[in-house]
Amino acid sequence: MIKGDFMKLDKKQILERQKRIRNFSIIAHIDHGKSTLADRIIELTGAVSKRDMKAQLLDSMDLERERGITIKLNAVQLEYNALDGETYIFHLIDTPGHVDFAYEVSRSLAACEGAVLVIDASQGVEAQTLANVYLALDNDLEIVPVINKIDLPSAEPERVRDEIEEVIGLPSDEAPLVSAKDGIGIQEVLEMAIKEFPAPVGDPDEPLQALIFDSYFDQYRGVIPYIRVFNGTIKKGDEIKMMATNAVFEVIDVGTYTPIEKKKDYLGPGDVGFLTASIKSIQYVRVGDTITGASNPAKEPLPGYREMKPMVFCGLFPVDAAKYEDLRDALEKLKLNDAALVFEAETSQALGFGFRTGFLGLLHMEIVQERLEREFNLDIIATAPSVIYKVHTKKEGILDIENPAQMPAVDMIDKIEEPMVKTTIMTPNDYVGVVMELCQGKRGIYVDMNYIDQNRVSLRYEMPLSEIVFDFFDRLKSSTKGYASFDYELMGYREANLVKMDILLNAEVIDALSVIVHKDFAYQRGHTITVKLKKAIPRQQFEVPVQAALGNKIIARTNIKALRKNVLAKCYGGDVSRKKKLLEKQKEGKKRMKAVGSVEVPQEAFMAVLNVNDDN
Amino acid sequence: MLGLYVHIPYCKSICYYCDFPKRVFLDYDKYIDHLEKEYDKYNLTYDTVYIGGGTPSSLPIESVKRLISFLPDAKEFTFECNPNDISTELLEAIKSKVTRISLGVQTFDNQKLKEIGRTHTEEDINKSIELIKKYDFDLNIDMMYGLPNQSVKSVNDDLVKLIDIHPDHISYYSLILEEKSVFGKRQYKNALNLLTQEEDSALYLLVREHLKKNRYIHYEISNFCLEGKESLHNLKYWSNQEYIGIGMGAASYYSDSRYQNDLTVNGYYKGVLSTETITDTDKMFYHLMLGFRLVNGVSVSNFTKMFGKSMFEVYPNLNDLINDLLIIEDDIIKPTEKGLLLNNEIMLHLMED
Repeated sequence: MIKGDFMKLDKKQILERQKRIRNFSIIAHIDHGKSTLADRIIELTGAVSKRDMKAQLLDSMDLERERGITIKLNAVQLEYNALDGETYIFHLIDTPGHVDFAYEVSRSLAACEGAVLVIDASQGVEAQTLANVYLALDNDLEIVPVINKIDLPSAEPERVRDEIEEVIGLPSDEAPLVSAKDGIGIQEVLEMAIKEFPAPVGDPDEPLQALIFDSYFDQYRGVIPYIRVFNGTIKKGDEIKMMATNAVFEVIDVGTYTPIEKKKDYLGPGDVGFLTASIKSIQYVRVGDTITGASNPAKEPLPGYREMKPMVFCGLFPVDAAKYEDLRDALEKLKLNDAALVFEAETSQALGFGFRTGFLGLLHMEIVQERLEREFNLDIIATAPSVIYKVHTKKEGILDIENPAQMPAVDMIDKIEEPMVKTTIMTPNDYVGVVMELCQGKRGIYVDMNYIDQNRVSLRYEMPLSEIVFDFFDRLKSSTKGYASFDYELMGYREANLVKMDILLNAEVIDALSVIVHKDFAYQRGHTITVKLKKAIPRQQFEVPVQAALGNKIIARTNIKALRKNVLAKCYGGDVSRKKKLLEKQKEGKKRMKAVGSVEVPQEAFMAVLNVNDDN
Repeated sequence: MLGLYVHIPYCKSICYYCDFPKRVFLDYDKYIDHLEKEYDKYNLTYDTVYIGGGTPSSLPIESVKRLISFLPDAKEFTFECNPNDISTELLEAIKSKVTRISLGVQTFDNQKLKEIGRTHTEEDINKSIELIKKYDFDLNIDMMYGLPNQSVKSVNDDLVKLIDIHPDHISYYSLILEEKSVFGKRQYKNALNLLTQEEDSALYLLVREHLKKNRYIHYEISNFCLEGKESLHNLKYWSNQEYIGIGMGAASYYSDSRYQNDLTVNGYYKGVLSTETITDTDKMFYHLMLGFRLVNGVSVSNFTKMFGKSMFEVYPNLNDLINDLLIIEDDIIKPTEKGLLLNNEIMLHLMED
């Protein structure tokens, strides 16, 4: 910190302004109107005209390029002239919404004091409504319920008011009736926010404590953290330290988004905004971390920081080997904005050169895969998701194996340990039985059950991480009509009777299809996988035996018959062009297949080794 | 010279397997008016004419006469018919120009005929052939195997009866489940017991064997003929030559463009077209795609003469297929028996980079 020569900040001024700050997020079940309400609030109070609002919501990137201004809508600072004559400063923070990103959601909520809960007047309280409420309560937020879409003919606001009281247990007699679409009631919402949400507490003289709750990468200015200041102040020229990594940086700018980027002299307690410090690598900007002063650091970081460790891994390979560099470049670009994405080079006998990639969870993995295909135009093969096993070998010590193909030979292994997670599942009473069955089917060990309230139960199970990486979340949601939610935490390793099962196509072991299974389930899995592969792999020009093996022992086998007929019986005048198109389509289909050994294998086949639930 | 195709999209009833453009209601006069106008627009000469459909023979006799009158004379003039429509009146009306009749038989098995929606019987077939034989027409018979729940015996019976009739030309197809057909839309597709690839290829070879044993030359994937009785019109398609198609849904290949009339009557009247411009690369591709359908394949030197490059240069992957799906005999490169069954695989392999 540069001693002496800095702007004098009037503490009284800071505290007075702090009293007029309100920080909140909008939470809702999907399609209940969260975005529309946010738009209205920003229109009413933000520094952007209605016309530009429309443009920026759809093309904020284009606007940036064309007009050279930066617009961000994740954390917006808004000014509102209240009925009491005062001008209030709102910070509206957006949250992502999936259990894979539960940690990030919780950190965004931790940056707030309140939450506006939007409920559709015709749909009423729904599954995610509840899930979001619980998340907000867990973060000690004040909640203001708001009944939206009162413009709909099917709206029943009074019924919904009762629901809020009875089902959620929140007082709702003062809940504003709103039509975000028609712009009705917006002001009421803001007045309620002022009344119900507390002003942020915090001392500007205390050592700096600012929470990082999000970030993005700017090609000129480096990684830019979104921060909420809790104590102290932060301004240009300050030397700051990231408490999780001890990395030190000099602040170049601080500011907020109105939603247009606006530089400020300082950010004090209660402020939400950004800072730039030419931070080149995202590893220094970790969600949940605390930023403090380098020379006068806070004693403790803010609570709740967790290292975002990848939980799920898969191999990513380009279908066209020549696109390896393109894939690497794409992953590097994605990583700039995604701290949780990790990857390292990997070689597969079957699939060539690619990357073993780590994700926070299955959704994270799907998003990355889709972005690689859409944004970067890459045809990729993703191998089945897996976790890290600790293999105790006889001669080489303990090996961390992520890739089943790297498993040492059976006779070299003492024991295998797998990562276990403690899961907490919240579900309405009605579904307890179904949830317990699901967990037991995934080798879950029951820990305990608690009644959260008269409607909900919290179940805790210890489960192998490998059993939840694929479809646990989806199955949980579908068997509880979406009402259940779950969270998981790594709890260390445990020995298990695990074996590597190889899959052979045309008598060749295909390393990319190997899986690690529990011995008791091996035969069943082997059978299911071979049958699935038979369906997923198209006929080749020769018969292809499909086998599952444990070591040298074949435990399941089926055959894919050879292609016998592939011909267009009639080809007359009107068929000629059409036939060419058909061939082109068939060719496209083949392109998405990878020659694995001597067999052409489509992407679906690699996922086929995973489909445990289709055992019926 | 060019071939001329004329489409008559009219049928008295719809067969369950068919996905060709056709309707059970047609304003004949209006339609033929448009045909004539379209024909006049071209002002070209043709050495083959083919009237197909639908069921051209189901048109009222007056319409048939009108049609025949404005269409040109040709070395080969084919008219598609259903057995039920064959009458002395019809044959008299067409004999001045038509040289060849194509008869839709499909099978002689009355039960099977009903199951696929045909409205004639074995007796009708025999009667119609008797009549046709009184005239000087070349005869083609269209046949199908792999009908729903059809036994091998049924196919064998068909073959015996077919040989008995000994038509000049036979087109033999396997039943394909077309999405746009009645069969394609039915809920109980599984009850159709469609052929497995193994059964299909076995029957294909059985038919081929049997016909070859009885003096028929197998000259295209689905077409057989007695010596000298190839369909000249269809050969134009397979030799990648030009042709004009008039009528609803009719396709043409002319002046480096492949185009097709709209598949609805009103669209056709409005002159709606879909087109594909043919580049030199396309020409080479089509030359092989179509040529490899012929049992006698294509000439290597002819390709070089036409396109200035050897086909092996343009399609290096060709070499992989020799002695597997294709075989070379002197100047000719042609499909093997396996190459006939897996004909699509030939072009797919050539399309690989």
